[in-house]
Amino acid sequence: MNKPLSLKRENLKQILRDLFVHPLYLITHPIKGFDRFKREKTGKSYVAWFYFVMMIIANIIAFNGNDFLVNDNKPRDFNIFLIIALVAFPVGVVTVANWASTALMDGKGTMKEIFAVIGYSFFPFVWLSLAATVISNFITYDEIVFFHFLNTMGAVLLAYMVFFGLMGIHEFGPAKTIMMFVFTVVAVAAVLFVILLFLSLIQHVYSFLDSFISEFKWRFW
Amino acid sequence: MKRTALFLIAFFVAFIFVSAEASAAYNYDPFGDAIASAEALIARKVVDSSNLLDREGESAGYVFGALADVFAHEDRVFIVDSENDAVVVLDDEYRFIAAFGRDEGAGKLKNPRGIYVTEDYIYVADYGNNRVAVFTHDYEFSWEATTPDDPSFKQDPADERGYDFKPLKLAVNDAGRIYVVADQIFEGIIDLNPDGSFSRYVGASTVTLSVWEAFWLLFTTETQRRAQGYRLATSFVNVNVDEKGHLYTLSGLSEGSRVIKKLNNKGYDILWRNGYVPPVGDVASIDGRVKVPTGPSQLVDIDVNESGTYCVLDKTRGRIFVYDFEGYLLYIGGQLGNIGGAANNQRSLFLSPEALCFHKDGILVVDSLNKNLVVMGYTEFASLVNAASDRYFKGEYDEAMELWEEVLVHNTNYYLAYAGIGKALLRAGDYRGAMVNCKLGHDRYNYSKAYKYYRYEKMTVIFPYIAATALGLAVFLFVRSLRTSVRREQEEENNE
Repeated sequence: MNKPLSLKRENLKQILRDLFVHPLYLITHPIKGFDRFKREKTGKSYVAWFYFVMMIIANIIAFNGNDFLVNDNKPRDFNIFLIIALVAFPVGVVTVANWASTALMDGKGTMKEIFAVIGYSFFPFVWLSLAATVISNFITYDEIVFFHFLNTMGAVLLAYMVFFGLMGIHEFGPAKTIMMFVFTVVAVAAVLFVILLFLSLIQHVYSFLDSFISEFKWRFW
Repeated sequence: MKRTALFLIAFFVAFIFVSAEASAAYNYDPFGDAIASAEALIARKVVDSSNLLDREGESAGYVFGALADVFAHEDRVFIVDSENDAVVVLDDEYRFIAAFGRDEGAGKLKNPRGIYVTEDYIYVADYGNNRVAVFTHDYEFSWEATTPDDPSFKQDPADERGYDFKPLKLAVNDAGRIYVVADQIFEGIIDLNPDGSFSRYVGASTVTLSVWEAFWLLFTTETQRRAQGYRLATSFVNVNVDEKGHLYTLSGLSEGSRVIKKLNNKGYDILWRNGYVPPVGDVASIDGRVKVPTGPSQLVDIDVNESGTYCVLDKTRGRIFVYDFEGYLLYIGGQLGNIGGAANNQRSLFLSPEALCFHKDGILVVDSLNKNLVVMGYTEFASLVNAASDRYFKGEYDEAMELWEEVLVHNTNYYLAYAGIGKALLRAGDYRGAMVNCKLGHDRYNYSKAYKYYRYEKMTVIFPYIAATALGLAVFLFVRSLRTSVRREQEEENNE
């Protein structure tokens, strides 16, 4: 039975440890960290979900909060559902595709662990992107490079964590991990293809029903 | 029931407004989307065969044919009538003075296409006679520039290779050098010496391959390549020359965002393209359910005035685009006919506009199908924009700022005005105001400059406090550690 969450001092400390200290440990000790992530279950799914949501929030803040020196977005094009979809959809597809490909490659990771790794990997990107958004409001034209540096750093660290994370939970070597990524890309393409097929099928069914109903109306109404 | 009726009425009223808005004056915002603007150019007068008067106020009796070019020089307006093989001269009230080029003899024109007038001569691109015909200001034939001495041209009618010299448009600079755009010529603009002899080609566009084309070329054999045909440079469409002798040229669409070029004497493109949108006419893709012809703008004529402002004519949709010397789109006017429906609709003026030029308080446009001359006058809004742009060109930023503020009264959507005010405030030292206005005007460069000074100002105010706090903290920590160590020592003494 779950204990009711109380904001006691030690609970708060534990949460801070989960959200910041442990991901930092994973960055600095990728091999050992992700090994324990799997074997000792140090990875927690609430942290993964937290950073998943934070990724969406960070993207929303970056869209609106980046200073206009570096912001090419049209404010009136802001679409919160699009931003959510642009995070959620790739995460979903990559998770499924990675699970599907590693199931064939004797990967040891479960779908839950794959999602957890991806969620944890958002940790550096989220905070660096938020930091970049803040400093973008205090920079001049010549200092834009700092902003881009932070964002690029976040993206590189994201890729780095995904690589070592998946390597750890599937218990692969580096070469096999690279193979796995190739297979994952192929699987993503396959998933997208199936989705497109499905959408087109639905469209056909819809248009069939639509024309059927209008035909029915014209004849018998 | 009543409510439904009211709703329907409201709906139709809204619909009428929406459809009225669809044909209103517009401009482009920094994101490249069309936004509503104040009306800038309106037709003040339409001169055609039916209302063409001579200087006594009688009907001139001249019937316009297909008009090809127009040029304003001092108090006269020259119109090239290619159908009647004549050049028509009007005074600045658009009254008929003379028509020349029709008399038998050396000066008889045949299908003239372009005209340029200097202090000394009137130059006519005599397309049908393969020459540039030069007339004096008494409309007497003076001399001619015939086929240039270059292998591209047939030097002799019997030659099998080469093209006929078919001048389309021309421009003449202060020194009398003649720049000719000729049919079928890809080498560039033909530069003739003041005596009419051939000098060189200038400003040839370079042929470039896209990465994709280059990639596929790797896999083609020699025979295949030979069958592909030549990759020719885009030919020029029109040419004009400004006071300093820079050429303003128009090329075909394949030049992309470099359709308009400003060539220096070496033939390099030095046009500034700082504007929110590239100077190519319409930038938003116009397709789908619109009541205008679709596709990119096809620019056919250009004129430039003394403050570096240039206007171009788009033949696709009959629109006039006016840009300032930095490449900012100032305003847009005109429209092809048959879309507004109503005969007095200001935007159904042209059928096939061919040429334009600046003249007094407006822009003259000639139309080859309507066979008329349309005088597009500036509205108050456009006059203010012109004045502000002129002041800005001359470096009188404060005066420009006052004018920009007036422009904003007419059109709050006018981004360039905010940017202009921002620049003036930046120079005046009002960094906060400059930031606000540069941001409104989407001028990142000057915003950043203003912000730099603003940040510096703020920092000089805040920094002493930060420094004092840091110093205080350091002193506090030092004293505390001293006290701790003293206490510890005392405790140790006590323990002993």
